[in-house]
Amino acid sequence: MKKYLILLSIIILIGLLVRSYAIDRIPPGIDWDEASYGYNIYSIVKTGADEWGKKLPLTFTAFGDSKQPMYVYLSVPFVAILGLNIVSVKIIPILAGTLSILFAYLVAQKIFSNRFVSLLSALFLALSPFGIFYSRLAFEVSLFGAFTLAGIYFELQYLDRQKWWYWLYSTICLIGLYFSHNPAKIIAVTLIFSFLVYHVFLLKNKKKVVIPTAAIFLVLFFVTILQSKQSWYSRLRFVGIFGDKKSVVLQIQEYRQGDKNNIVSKILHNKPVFFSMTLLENYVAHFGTSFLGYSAEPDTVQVPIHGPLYPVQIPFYYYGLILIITGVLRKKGGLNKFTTVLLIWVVVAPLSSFITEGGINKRYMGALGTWEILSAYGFVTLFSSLRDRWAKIALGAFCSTIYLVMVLSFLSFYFIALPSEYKNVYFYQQNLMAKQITADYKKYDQIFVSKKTTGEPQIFILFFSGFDPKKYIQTKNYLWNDNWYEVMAFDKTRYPREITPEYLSKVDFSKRSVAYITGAELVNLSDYLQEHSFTVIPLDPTNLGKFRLYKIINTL
Amino acid sequence: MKLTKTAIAVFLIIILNIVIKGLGLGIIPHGIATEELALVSLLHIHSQSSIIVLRFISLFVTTVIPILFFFGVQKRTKNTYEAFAVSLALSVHPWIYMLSRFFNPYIFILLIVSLIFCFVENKRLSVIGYFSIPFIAFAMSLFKFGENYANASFISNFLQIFDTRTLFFSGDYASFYLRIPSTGFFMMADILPFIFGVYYAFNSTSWKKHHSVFFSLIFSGIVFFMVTPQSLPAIRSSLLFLSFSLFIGLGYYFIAHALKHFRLAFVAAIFLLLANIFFYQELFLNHFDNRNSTEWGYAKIQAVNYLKSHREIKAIYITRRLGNLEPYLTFLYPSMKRRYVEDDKIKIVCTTTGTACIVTEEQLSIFNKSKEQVRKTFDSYGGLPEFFLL
Repeated sequence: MKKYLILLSIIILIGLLVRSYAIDRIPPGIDWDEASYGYNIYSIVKTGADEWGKKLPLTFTAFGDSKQPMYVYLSVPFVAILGLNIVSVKIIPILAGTLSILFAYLVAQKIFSNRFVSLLSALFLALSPFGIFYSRLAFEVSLFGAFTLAGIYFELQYLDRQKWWYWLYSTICLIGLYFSHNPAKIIAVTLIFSFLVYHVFLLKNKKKVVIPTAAIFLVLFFVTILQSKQSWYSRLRFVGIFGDKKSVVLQIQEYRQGDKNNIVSKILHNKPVFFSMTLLENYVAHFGTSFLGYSAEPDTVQVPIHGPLYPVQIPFYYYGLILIITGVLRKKGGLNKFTTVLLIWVVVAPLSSFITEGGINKRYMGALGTWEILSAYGFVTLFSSLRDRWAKIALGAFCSTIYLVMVLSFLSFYFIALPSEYKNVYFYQQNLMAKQITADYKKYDQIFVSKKTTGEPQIFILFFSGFDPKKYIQTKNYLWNDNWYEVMAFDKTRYPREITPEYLSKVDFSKRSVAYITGAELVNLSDYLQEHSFTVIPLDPTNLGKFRLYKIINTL
Repeated sequence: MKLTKTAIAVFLIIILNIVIKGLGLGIIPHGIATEELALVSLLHIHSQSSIIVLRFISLFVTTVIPILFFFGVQKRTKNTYEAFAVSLALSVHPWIYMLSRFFNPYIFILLIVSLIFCFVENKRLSVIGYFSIPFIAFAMSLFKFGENYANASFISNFLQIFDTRTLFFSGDYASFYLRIPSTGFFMMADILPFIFGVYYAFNSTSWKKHHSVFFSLIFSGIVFFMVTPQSLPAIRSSLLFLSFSLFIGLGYYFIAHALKHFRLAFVAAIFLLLANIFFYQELFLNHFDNRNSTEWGYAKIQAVNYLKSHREIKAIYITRRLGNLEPYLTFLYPSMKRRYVEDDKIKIVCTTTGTACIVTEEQLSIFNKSKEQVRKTFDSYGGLPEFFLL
């Protein structure tokens, strides 16, 4: 067996290991999106329909947030075989994350024809903070990265070999990407369009490919526009930079007031100017050191403290990027077709997240692979340019030592610190609550869970109990508010928005009852609970923070 | 002919610097930052007008820097246009513009670097020169110009300061009072010139023999950043920004050269640059004080001037919460008798002694007084009340 194949296999095995080790315990819980995906997969397995009874849908309604189908359908066999549990719903992300390593190798090899660059790209991706983190979560983000990488690889193969089936594979992957994640749609459509333009310019008289690509692009483009006109608009106002109360608009108002709304102020401080500035700022921020090497503390399921690259890789990333740009600029008599595809990928990838106001993070997973390939290329080019043997040894030893230290630091953070320090982010208490309810389901006649414990607590109960989807559809009671389904009850469970003394006073406690509330609710209820002989039990005795949840049992 | 071209270029640079950096100098910022006060106190200066004179020194030094770079680049590349582009960048960039608006010692470090860049042609000597600068800065930073950031992680600070958002859009993340609203250390229009400038610097034949200049500037800038952890980001990264401006200037030249046959694109690029300069100038001149007058002690200076003009107030009690009034009193009215009082004693002291008191808005309720019932209100530049004289 060739040496590089052995090395690649070892890298892929390392990648698989860090993506699958203790997958049932780390992260310390699943969030409601993961639970929602899991239950929809289960529902498809059991009934062939989603949790709302829609047969084999192309968009999963879930909470009203329209989840994409690819991850659900790919996970069906694993949930069918292993049942609904944390491991079965995380197999696809792990496999997608591991396959990404292989594709990163193949893409780098195709572009640079250099085994050192390719193997290093694969190693960087195998140990990448983003790669590891998102492959261990039960949602579609790792598919976003994997499908993009696969689509790019087959496109490169097509450019190289000119065989139409590579174009077909690439298009299938990009259509897969389109159906994998909402932000990925814009990347899929733009990549198809960019490749179409590129084919027209580069590959003259290739009607066989250009015409079908154009047709697919137009279909996806109009489907995107028609399907989600309303939801995209409201979504953009919610997560995007647009909307009357967004910081951009407030800033304009401040400057206009300061200038007493004079003509110069109107010319300088207006929505077109400030939105353009903000869009440019957001776009450029995707290439900034702050994002690449360091992300702020998240309050949602996002990579904490780490960026997609380890800080030691960042200078090499920039060096690689400059080499690619200058390589494309320099080339006389036609562009270098492979590096141009890489550059298109780098330019297009931020489009999925640059119109949003929050952090970049998972919406930018279409760039997975670019960070690793460019930093590997930058490092190898610099390393090779050194003539002095000792300089090479010094650079290699210095960088690999720092890289190793940073990798170990991330792994120890992820596997040791994260499970205990980020329990709230991963809904640990809500997971615990759902497991308790599942275990005691037959013990009680009515179960109350305050929505203050988390927005949609029922989804955790559905996930951990594997509740019969048909019965769920029949018994659920819900409200439709502002593009969101709010489940208020199903079977013997009730989900009031808040549990107050007034609410409890209307409950028939002759039935065996249990309720789950937050610490803030407990303060309001303390007198009532003392008067009516309730027992209060902290859900997680180890949690001493302010977001503590409690179980209350009627002991009369 | 060449001399004429050089003379015109230098003349233009001087005019540009005076127009851009001199507009409103002495007036904006309205006030004196505590760091600036600490520095002038070291020089034993005790008048407000002398600070304005010192700010003219800043203007002078920051005008000389682009001129020195002009000659430095011209000497190396023999290209006046390229030299002019670099000095243009150093004349208009917001980071150096901000340093020109107040008196600070770091402009002299930049001046020394510029002198080395301009006059020292011997490579070894210039490298030694560049690398000695950070250690001078380290010694100067022991005066603690700015807040203490030593506890913050070096890597995260470094990544934050050189982030694209900080560089081109938002500016100093740690200290608002040194940041032009909605503006970075560089302008938005500098993004592409920066990329092309780096490309040009390392690929053009004219700079082939001078790569060591870039490396020396960058590495000494990094060392400078490392050895001054207690300084503000805008200050500690200024040496690195000098090299960034150099790259951006080269980028201007590269783009202008590439677009010379595309008049429309060339005009558009010039328009974009001018619009960007006008944009941040307007934000600085019209909005900087509204946002930052508290840090620049606008209300505090008003208070001290009020006390000076009301000689009947012989002594004053000041709430401990306004302890940062002290540097202004020491500087502008050292003879004023004053005592700082803790929260729990302020009511007794002020009501029983009948002495004038300076308190904050929250403390008015202790005295059962509304804002209208006080002797004098001291407002921020934007008109919001900051503290009150009873």
